[in-house]
Amino acid sequence: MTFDPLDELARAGIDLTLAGPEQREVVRSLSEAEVALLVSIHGQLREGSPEVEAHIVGGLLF
Amino acid sequence: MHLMDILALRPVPAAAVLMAITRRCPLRCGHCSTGSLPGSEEHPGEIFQRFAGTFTPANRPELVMLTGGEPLLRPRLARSLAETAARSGARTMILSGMFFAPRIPASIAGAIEAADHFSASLDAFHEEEVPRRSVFAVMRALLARGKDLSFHLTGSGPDDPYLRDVTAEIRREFHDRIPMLVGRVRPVGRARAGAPVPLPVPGGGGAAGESAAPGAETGTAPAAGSAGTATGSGAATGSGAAPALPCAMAAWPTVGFDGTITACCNQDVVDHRPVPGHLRLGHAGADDWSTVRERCLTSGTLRALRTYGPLRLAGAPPGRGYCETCRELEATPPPHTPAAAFLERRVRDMQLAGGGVGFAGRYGCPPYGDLVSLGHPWRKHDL
Repeated sequence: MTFDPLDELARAGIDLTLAGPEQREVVRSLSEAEVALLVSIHGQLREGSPEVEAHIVGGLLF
Repeated sequence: MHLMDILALRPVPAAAVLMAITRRCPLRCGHCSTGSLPGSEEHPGEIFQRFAGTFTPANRPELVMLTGGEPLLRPRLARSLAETAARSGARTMILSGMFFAPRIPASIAGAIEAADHFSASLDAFHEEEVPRRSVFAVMRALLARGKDLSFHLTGSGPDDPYLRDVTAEIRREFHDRIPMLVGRVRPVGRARAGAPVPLPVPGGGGAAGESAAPGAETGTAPAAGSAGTATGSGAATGSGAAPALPCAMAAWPTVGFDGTITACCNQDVVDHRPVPGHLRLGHAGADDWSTVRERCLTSGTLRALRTYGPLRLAGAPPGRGYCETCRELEATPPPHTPAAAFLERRVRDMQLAGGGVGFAGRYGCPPYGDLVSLGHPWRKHDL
């Protein structure tokens, strides 16, 4: 089966319905690795996993 | 300005600027990330005032966050900065340890009045210095005046009994009208002096709760391969198996105690000189906001850090610290292709979609993430 970045991203829950023709063209040019990267970041943000030593000036989380 | 609105801006590059206007603080909290003391460094207010004076209605941050040390040790400067920012249309938030509670001296009241949001820092260490009831007395008075308020709480982690107790009491005391951002004590500043960090028991001595979260000291990264599955070379296509973990902290310029402006507020970046080249945005005594903003927005390295994070960018080996990798970064950012621009936009949009609650969940103490929405009109009341 041919790799279709739009399908892959949609399957991962990344909504591109509002993307215009030009943006969809860019999406179609994404490599499998680039799509995998976006999907992995999407998953991490949804899980809310902390990853940075956030903090910060004054002991506060900014 | 509600805390949710402030946190929603967090992933937006140059949406705000942090100003650490003094390292001094009269409190001696055991966990202080800035190692602040009453005699710590403090630089002329003119440096900060000059920089705020370069904000214009057409080119300004949305928010100026005044912090320290204890920013309200310089109430006249804090007030002046808030008023200067307001003239350009920028809003101001003050973060304080509230050494003055339960009274509010006139000069401090003036500074708080000039700001759009006031946040009180509270945790078990602070409570050894300033009683909770004193902090509450000030917050009650400010709430009665209609001030937008928040609490910034820190504890050892999700199971910390202190956090359960203090969040419940704040909800009761203020009838869910004041939002809370709950974070975890990190081994920075005085908290780094001895690990694990023992948390005091409110009202008594000794330790309580857990030690600082394992791995927090070095920001240990998730196991390689947990995220990135890409192959090939470069950040976008994957350098080995280093995970892609975007950094939302490389978004707001931070004016350090001496006026040096860095691209993030990590304490080691703020404290150490020289600042790594890719994280230095300028100096408040010499550069204007427009220049700093432009550097923040256009730096290829910062854009890549916000999109891929330092581990992927550096091709870091498993177990390498997140912020440590960033500070030592020497990688060349990927070329700015249409695909790279798309990835950058999508990652930013994903973070924006999470809003204030999403930010608090990622960077704070997850079980308490929703407390940032207390008092917000859009809050779901069944939570």
